[in-house]
Amino acid sequence: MSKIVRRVTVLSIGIALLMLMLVGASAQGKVTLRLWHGLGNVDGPYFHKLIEEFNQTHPEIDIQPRTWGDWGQFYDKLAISIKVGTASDIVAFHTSNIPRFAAMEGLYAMTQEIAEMGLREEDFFEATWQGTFYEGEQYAAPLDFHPQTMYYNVKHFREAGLDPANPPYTLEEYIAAGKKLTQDRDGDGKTDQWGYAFNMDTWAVQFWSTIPQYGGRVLDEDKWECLLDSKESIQALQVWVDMVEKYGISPPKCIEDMQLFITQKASMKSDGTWALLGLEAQEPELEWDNTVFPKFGVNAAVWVDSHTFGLPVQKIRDAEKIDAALQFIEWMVTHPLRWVRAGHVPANREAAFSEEFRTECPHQYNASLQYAALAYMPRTVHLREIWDRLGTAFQSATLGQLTAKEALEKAATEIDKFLDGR
Amino acid sequence: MKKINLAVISALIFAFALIWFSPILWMVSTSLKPEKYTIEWPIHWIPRSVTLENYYSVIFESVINIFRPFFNSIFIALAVIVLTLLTSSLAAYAFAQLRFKGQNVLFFLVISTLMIPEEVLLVPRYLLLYKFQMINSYNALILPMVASPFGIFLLRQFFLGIPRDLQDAARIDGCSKFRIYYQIILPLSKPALAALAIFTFLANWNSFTWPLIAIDSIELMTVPIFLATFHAFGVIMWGRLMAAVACVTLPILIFFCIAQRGIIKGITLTGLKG
Amino acid sequence: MRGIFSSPPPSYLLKVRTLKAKPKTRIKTGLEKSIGENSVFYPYLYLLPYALFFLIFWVYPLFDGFYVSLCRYDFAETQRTFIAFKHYISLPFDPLFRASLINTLLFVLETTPLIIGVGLAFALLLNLPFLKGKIVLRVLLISPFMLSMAAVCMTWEWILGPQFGLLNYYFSQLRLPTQAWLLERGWSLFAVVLTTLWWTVGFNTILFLAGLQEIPDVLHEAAKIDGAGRWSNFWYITLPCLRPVLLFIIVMQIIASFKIFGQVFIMTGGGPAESSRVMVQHIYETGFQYYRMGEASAIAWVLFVIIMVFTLAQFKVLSKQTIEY
Repeated sequence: MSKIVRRVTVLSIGIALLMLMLVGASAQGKVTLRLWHGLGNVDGPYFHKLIEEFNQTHPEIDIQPRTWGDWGQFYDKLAISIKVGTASDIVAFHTSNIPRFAAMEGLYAMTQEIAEMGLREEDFFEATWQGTFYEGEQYAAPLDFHPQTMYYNVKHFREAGLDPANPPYTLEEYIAAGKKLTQDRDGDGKTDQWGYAFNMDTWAVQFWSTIPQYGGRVLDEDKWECLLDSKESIQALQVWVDMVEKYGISPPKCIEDMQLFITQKASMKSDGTWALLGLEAQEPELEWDNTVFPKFGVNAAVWVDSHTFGLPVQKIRDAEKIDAALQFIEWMVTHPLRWVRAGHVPANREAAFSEEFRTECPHQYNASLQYAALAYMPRTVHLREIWDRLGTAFQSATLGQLTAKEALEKAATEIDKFLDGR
Repeated sequence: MKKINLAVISALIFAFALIWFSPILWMVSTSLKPEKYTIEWPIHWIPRSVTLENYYSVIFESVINIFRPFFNSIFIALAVIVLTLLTSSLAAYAFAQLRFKGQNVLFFLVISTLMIPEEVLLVPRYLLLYKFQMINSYNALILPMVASPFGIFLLRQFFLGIPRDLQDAARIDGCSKFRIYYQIILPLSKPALAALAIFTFLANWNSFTWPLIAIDSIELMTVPIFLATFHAFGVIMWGRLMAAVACVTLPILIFFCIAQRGIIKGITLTGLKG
Repeated sequence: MRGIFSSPPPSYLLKVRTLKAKPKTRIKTGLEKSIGENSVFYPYLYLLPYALFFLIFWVYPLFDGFYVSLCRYDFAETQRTFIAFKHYISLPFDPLFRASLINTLLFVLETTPLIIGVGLAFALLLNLPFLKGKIVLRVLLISPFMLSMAAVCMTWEWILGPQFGLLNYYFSQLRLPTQAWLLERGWSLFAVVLTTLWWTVGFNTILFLAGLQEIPDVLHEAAKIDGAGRWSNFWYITLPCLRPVLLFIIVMQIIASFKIFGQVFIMTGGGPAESSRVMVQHIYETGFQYYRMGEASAIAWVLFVIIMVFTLAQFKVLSKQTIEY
C-alpha cells in the first residue's frame, strides 16, 4: 500500500477511536440512564425537550434519549437486545407490547413501586389500567392513550353546506357527507377532492377499529383460535372496500392520505391523535378540526394504544438506575399534561376531565370523548405476527386484489398455523 | 450530411442520458422545496421557492444525527478494506509464488466459497457473535466481512502475471520471500489492490441486511439503516427525506466525477480476470 | 488478455537493483528451521490470517447453520431441539415460503436479461467513436451504481408515488394509464426490478466497455472489408469476443439477483399481498422478527442449494462454447 493511503487509514482509524472515546464518556457523578424509543421527527423532538427539562430539574440524573425513528425497528431490536443484555435502562413503548416482553421475562415488574407512587386503579380509565398488567403483575404505569380520531377540513365543510360543528358520526351520515364533499372541481372528469381518504398500507388501524364495531373479534383467547374470518369481521372489512368501490368517496389505491389532506385534496381523514402536531404546522392555510372516530357498525369502538415506560431486564440488576428510572416515570405520570401536548390523551381521569386539558389541548379533548369505547388489541405474545397478517389482509382487500372474505380467510389460516406452534 | 446525422444522434444520446439521470435531479429539486410544495400538481422541476430548511432540519434538528451513520459507514468500510487487503494479499502471494502441499486443493476450496450466498450465513454468524457477546459492536460489522475469496482470486491472478525475472533477480540479491512480497509484488499490484479496495468499499457501503440484523444501538447505525428510519408509517416528509438522501448521495457523486478513470480502470480489472 | 499485464516500467527495475543484500552466512536457529523461509510450514504462515477469518466466519457458520436448520430454535427460548428435516418438509406447505420462492425466481428472470441487455447497450453507446464529452455521459449513465442502496430506493419510491409521483405525472400527461406501481400486485415486483436496473446497470456497463475495447480493431476492419454490415459485425465479431465477459456477468448477475432483499424491504415490504416477497426477506422475517432461527436457517439453505444448482448449470451450458480465432 502506498504511504499516503496508509497514513490516511491510520489517521482515520485514530480519529475514529478518539471520537468513540469522547462519545462514550458519560458525565461523572450522575446516574446515566439510556432511554430508547421509536418516536420519529414529528413528536420526537418534543419528547426530547421534556427529557431535557427533567434532566435540568433533577441534576443527579442524566437521561440520554435515543430513537430508532420507527416503531417497527424499535421493537425488533428491543427483543434481541434484551436477550443479549444490551437493552437500554428505560424504554418508551406501547402497552400493547407488554404481553410480548413480559412473557419472555424481558421487563422488570413494578407493581409495588406503582402503588407506592400513589397511583390507584380508580384514578385511571379502566382499559388503560388493565393494559399495564400481564398475569397479575404490573409492568408499567398508565401514561396516556392515543385513539384514532377523525380530522376534517372545516373550509370544505362550509363550502359543501355541512355544519363544521356537527361532523358525521354514523355510516349513513358519512356516506351522505362524503358524497357532498367528493367533487370534480375543474370539470375534467377526474375527482379532485375526495370525501374521506384512508391509508391502504398494512398499517390497518381503521380496520382494527371496525372489527369490534360489528361485533367481531380477532382472537378467541380461550379457544386460542383466530376469528378473523367470521361474518362480523368480514363485514368490518367490507365497509372499507365499499368506501372506495360502492360509495366512491375514498380514493382508490391510496397511501398518501395525509398528503391529500394537507394539500386539501381530501376533506376527511382518520389517524391517530399523534398526527395533530404535524397538522398544526400546516395552519393557517389548512383549516381543520377533529372529532371522534366514526361508528360504522353497531357498537362504538375505536382502536387505541397507550404509550408508557418500561424497564428492560439487564444482565445485572442495578438498583440505583432502577430507582432513578422510577423517579422519571413518576415525574411523567403524575403530570400527564406535560406529555400529552404532543398529541395524546391522559390516562388519568382527573387530568382528562380537567379544565386545563380542555382549553389547552382542544383537539386531544375531542378525541378523549371516546374513553368509553376504547378497543385495545388482544393481549398476546403473538401480536406482531397477527398485526402483520391482519394488515396484509386489509391491504389486499382495499386495493381490490382479493375480496374481503378471501383476504380474511387467508389471514386466519396463517394466524391459526402459528398459534398452533407450527 | 453525415456530420449533421452524427450531431443529431449525439444530441439524442445526450438527451436520453439526461433523462436516465433525472431521478437524481428530481431528488435534489424536491429537497430544495419547502415541505408544503413538495406535493403539487402540476409538478415543477425548478422549485417555486428554493429553501435550505430541509437540509437544516436533517443536519441539525433530526432526532438521529446524520453524521454518526455516515462516519460509521466510512469507518467500517475503511477498516474492512485494510484487513481484507492484508489477508487477501498475503494468501494470494502464497498461492501464486510459493510452493506447498495441497496448494491446488486449498485454492479450489477458497474459490468454491464464492458460490455461497452470505444470506445462508446470516443466522449462524449472528448466533456465533451472540455467543461471544459481540453483537452490536464495530467488530460485528467488520470482522465477518474480512475474509474475501474474491480478493484472493483477483490478487492471485494478478500476482501470477508479474514476471518472474524480477523476483528471481531479487532472490539472487538475497532478498527474503517476505521482502519480495513487501517491496516488489505489492507496489507492482497497485491497480489490483485499488480495484479490490473499491469493490470492498462498495460492498460495505451498501451492506444492508447484515447491519440491520447485527446492530441494536443507534450509535452504530450505518447509512442504509439510517435512511430506512425516515420511513416511518403515515407521514413521510418527502422534502426532508430527499434532503437526507442528498446529503448521503452528493459526496459520492462528486467523488465519482473526480475519480472516474481510476474507478473504471479498477473495475475493469476485476471483470476481465473473472 | 494483454494490455493490463504488460511488463512494468523500467523504474521498478531500478528499485530492485538497490535492494541491500542480506548476509548469507548465519546460524539458523531451531525456530527458523521450523518456520523459516525454506521450511515446509513457511507458506502456510501466509495463509494464516486469511484462514483465521475464513474458518471462523465462513466455514463454521456454514456447518453450524445447517445444524441449526435441523433444529427447532426459538431465539427467545435459547433451547435447540433436534427435529431432523421437519423444517424442510414443512416449507413447501407454507404459502409465504412458496410466494417468496416464486417471486425470487420471477425477479431473477425479469432482472437478468434487462440488466445485461441495457448494460451492453450503454457500453455500445459509450464506445461510439464520434461521441464527444464521454466523461459527462459516463457520469450520467454509470454513476448511480455508486450510490447507497437506501438512497436509490427512497428516491424511486418518491418517483413511483401513486398520487404525486413523477412517473404517474408524466404518464397522465401523456394520456397513459397511471399505475399504483408499488401498490399493484403485478407491478410492485417490476418496480423493484426497474429500480435495481437503474441502480446497478453502471457496473455491467463498465465491464462491457472494457471488453469492447479489448477487441482488436483488426477484426472489425477485416469484417468491414469482407462487406459485413453493422449488425453482422456485432453478431459475429463483437458478441463472440465478449463471451468471457458475458459469462462472468451473467453468472454474477444471477447470483446477485437471487439475493435481493434491501430494495424490497424498503420499497414494498413484500407487498401488496405478498406479491413481492422474496426469499431473503422471508429469512429475515422468520429469523429476526419472529425469532424462529431453525426455520430461517432451513430457508437459507434451500436458497443456497438453488443458487448452486443454477450456477453449476450455467457453467455447464455457457462454457461449452469456447472461442477460437
